[in-house]
Amino acid sequence: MSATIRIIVKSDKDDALVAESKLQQKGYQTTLSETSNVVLDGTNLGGHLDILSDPDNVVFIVIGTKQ
Amino acid sequence: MKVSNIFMLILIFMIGILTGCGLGFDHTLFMTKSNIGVDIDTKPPTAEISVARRELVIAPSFEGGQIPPVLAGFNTGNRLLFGFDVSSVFAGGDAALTLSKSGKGETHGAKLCLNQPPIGKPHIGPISLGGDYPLPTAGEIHPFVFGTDTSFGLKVAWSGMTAQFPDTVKIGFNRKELAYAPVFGQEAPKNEDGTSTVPDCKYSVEMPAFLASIEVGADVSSPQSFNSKYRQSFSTGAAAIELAGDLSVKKLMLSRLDISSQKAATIIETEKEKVTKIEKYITNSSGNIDNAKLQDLLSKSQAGSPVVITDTVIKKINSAKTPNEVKELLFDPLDAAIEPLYKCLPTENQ
Repeated sequence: MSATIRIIVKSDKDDALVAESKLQQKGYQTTLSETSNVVLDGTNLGGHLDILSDPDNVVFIVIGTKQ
Repeated sequence: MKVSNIFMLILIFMIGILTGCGLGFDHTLFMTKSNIGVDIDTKPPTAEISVARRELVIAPSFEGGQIPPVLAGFNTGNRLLFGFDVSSVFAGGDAALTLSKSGKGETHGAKLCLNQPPIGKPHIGPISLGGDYPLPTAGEIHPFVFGTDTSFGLKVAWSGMTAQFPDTVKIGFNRKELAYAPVFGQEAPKNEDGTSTVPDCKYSVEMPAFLASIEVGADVSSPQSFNSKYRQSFSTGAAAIELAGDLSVKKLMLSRLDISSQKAATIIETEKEKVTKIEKYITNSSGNIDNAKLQDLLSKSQAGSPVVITDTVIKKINSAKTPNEVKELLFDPLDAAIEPLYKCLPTENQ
């Protein structure tokens, strides 16, 4: 069975921590990163190209992986 | 710790060895004792709170410092004249490991891997006390003792002189938890040439899983809203492992870990309730998906939340063959879709 990868972007650190904990409680291995530049490129799958940012220039990325 | 308590521990340990019960060698003793007394009064103004908690484990330690896992957590929150909360978790073996991490329980997850069968040789300093304590292995039976003792008393008095609030609150909570568990060893099967079939775990060590939890809460802000809850669980073996993976029990531990985990656990509980209602709504009398209702729900929720209920999400939900599959998809990974769908349920189904 293939792994599921979830990517969650939050503008607030507390929200990101809750999202990370939620993934952990659902059995995901997670990482939390802080950055100011997020580019989502889903064009190869027929999706969107998007740039995610926040007014204070900081966003938090939660990546969860579950086998 | 008082000198008398240290003496008592040494005494227990020595009696254990001398009576041949192998405490700390082939058995683990794990015990806790909690006592809380709260006395709050307005006449005269008094607030007395005392909390006493004792924890003890005597367990064998193996190569690499490995120890059969145990876990105990205790939490109390006093809202003075408005109520009182206390929760406690006591677990060992696979149940303790399950409680300490995310996800569901796994049988034999707490197994310790050794390179050779261990043998206990009790001694005090350089003086050998004699006797060997090999671990019980396949084909042997050893008793497993596990018990709890709880008492909870609550007295609240309203005189009317302090509006709707009580002017006296007295609370007493006392709990003892004890487990005396055998530690079993098992050698992995060998190949014809005598090598182990499991080179990474030639000899494994485990102890039985056990779990006891209690949650007591009392809201005494007024006689009308007086409310108290008492929830207790007691389980061993596979039942303990399964229950340890349950969020309602994990939450008792999580409340001691961090606020994010607690919030996440609450959100997940709410999501579970909402997903169950969505599942019920889209299930017809035969137990299958009521396609008309599902498509209507998807259409309405997409109109209200087009950014969340996208065509891709709808396609994924429509790939489910049973209401339960829809429920599982929504719980994970499509949990962001739960709220928009729930909002579009008819009011009587919410």
